[in-house]
Amino acid sequence: MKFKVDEITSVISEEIKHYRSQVDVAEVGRVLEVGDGIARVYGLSNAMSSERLEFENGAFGQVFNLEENSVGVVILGDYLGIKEGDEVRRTGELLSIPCGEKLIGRLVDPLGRPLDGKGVIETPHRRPLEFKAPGIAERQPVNQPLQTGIKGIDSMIPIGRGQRELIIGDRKTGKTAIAIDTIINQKGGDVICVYVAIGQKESTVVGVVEKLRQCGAMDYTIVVSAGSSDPAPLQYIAPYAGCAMAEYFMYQQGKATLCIYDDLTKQAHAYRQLSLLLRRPPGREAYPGDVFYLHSRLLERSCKVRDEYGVVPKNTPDNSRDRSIVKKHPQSFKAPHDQRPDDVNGLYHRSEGKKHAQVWLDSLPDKANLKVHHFPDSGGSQTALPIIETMEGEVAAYIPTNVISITDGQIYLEPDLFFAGVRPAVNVGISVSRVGGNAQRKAMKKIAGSLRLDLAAYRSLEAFAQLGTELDTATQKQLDRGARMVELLKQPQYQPFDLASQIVSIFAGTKGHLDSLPVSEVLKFEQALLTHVRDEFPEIVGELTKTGELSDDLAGKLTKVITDFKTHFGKKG
Amino acid sequence: MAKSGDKDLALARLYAASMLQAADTPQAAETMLAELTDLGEILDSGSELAGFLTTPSLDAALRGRSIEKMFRGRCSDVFVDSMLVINRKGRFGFVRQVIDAYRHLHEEKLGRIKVHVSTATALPDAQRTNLRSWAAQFTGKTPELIESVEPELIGGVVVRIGDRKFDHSVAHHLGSLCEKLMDRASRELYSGARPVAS
Repeated sequence: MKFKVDEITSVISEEIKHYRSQVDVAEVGRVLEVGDGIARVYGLSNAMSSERLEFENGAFGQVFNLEENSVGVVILGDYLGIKEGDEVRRTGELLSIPCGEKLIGRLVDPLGRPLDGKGVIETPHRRPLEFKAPGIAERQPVNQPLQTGIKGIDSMIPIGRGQRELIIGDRKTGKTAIAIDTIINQKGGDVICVYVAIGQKESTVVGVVEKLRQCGAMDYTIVVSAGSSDPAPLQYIAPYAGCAMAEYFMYQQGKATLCIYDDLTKQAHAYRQLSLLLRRPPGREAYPGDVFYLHSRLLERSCKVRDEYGVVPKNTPDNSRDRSIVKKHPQSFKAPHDQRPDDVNGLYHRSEGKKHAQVWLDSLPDKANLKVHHFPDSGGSQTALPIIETMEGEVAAYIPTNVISITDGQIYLEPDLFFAGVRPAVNVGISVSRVGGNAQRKAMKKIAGSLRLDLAAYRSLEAFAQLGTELDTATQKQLDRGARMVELLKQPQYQPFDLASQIVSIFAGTKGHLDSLPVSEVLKFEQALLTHVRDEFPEIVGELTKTGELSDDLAGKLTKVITDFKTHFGKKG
Repeated sequence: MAKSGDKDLALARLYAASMLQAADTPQAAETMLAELTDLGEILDSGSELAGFLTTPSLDAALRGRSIEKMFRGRCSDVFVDSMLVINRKGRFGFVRQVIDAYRHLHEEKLGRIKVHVSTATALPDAQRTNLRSWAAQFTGKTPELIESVEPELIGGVVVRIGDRKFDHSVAHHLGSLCEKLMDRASRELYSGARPVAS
């Protein structure tokens, strides 16, 4: 690259010529004390809570405590470069972070600064770090599934788009593995994923990013990292940053998003550290009193936003977001029930909104010039998979109970199962999904309905059988079935199953096709069966994927396929 | 500016307000301020007297008697009485904050305000007058200019009133121009345009 001096000069001259000098008016304070990522600043009497401040060395801060003569500030950046007496300026803005498509595939810190060495992220979009969760009217119930690709979860603990499902367990029980598998399973889909690593080892984050890259998952994923060596303020804001990045796609583009917070225990630790340093009164386990709100305000931001429909001129482009062109029903809320709009702007957004809009359109004399339009920035969702690490399986500790009560269910991972080789080590007995059932595909619901109960019965009988008592045939049968189902639900890491494969696999197990096989042969049989169905009967896979339903006819066909294959497999074996 | 907690500052303000109230005439308040300023200088000097007055290991009654002997007759009665109360309550450790708070409250009562003015060279009289009248108009109070010469400002003026800072210095304008140019260059560099390269 060759620089032309005259060009540089002309650019500078032009800038100088157009430079309008203005008095810079700012509200400033002085640093009284600084350390451990926090500072106390004298002055700034008009500062707002959570306002962004600028330090002399370029670091940002966020107002945390408003006191009589000073403000407590958390420093987001290099606090070692700040000294007593330094000037601190108000910005009048809340903390915001860059967001948008340019962040996809990138590894960034919680302020949106790149950590992957791929250069500056130039994006015109920003979103506030703290954003009020949508109200009741802006939401719709969870009704669409979010496939994790893990048989045990999709069948028994289904997750819906907009749900908050907690992944909880001791260290090294496979919590992150479930999250990563879920991201990998979104490949080829329409879900934007955000993985937030909080207080993790840098080497672990590198491993995760590398794995996602190898699996092609970085094409739709943003990784936000506040490592264990980063200051506590960055670890504290990291989940909010990840959430804001996902919200851009949810609110601006109406897309489905998935946020993984790995893990909120460490975020709570960081928050406790900040609170204690700022002398907020400690409560249980030394956490401040608002630690519940710390997590509830984050997780409430995950939801399924309502779909919005309106009757608009026929020539309106499909990507139009202009609500002002919506034709309003002349009778407004006094219109007949089946065509009544849902708000004063003439929009339809209840579950029957589209139908009501269509009914009204059909009744209009100029219906040929109008159409029902779905606003593309509506209907987005943010699914949250927060992770909580327990100590010695203690789910009754402060933070776990808080997050359990906030979320819509939990996947509990047990070390005993993990070390017994049952992986993912999901304890189906105490794992639950409170809203996901409504979103589960019909076929899966049909075949997996009794699976949870069967497995629970197996666990209780298993303990009984270990006593060495003589068992009746029915009990022995139940035990045999249970052992095969447990084996069938084992799944290697980074190998998510698509919906059709899951249905075929679980169908084979629940219908007793595996009962005659030795337990050690179950996974081998499953692999061979899936390959056989995919290669020889693509129409079955196609129908299951397309409709998500298992008609009697299709079930009969599948039974025949499995029976025939079993005969062949038996001979081969 | 003293380095202390908000609780200490609130306490100091309470004592200062009481002392200002006790000095019932403007003259008495002015005298009290002068006496407190002198006391502040003694404490800052780090002399043995400063140690004697602030050490927590000394019995309050003994120190009280010494204060009586040292100050009664030499200083105003209100000042001596205030010091005795502060001593009896074991708050001599906060006396520096009390002095600062008293000064602040006194200025506030008189409608005075401190205006810090920084310039690259000494402020000419005409500009000083202009600045004073502008500050009086802006704050609605009587400004007390505290001037400082900072050659690194290059030119122009920086005025600070309370939390507000008005920066019209050449150094600041050059800095913001530099920032603007850098911003433009980085934006054009990353957008693919090469404004200054062939």
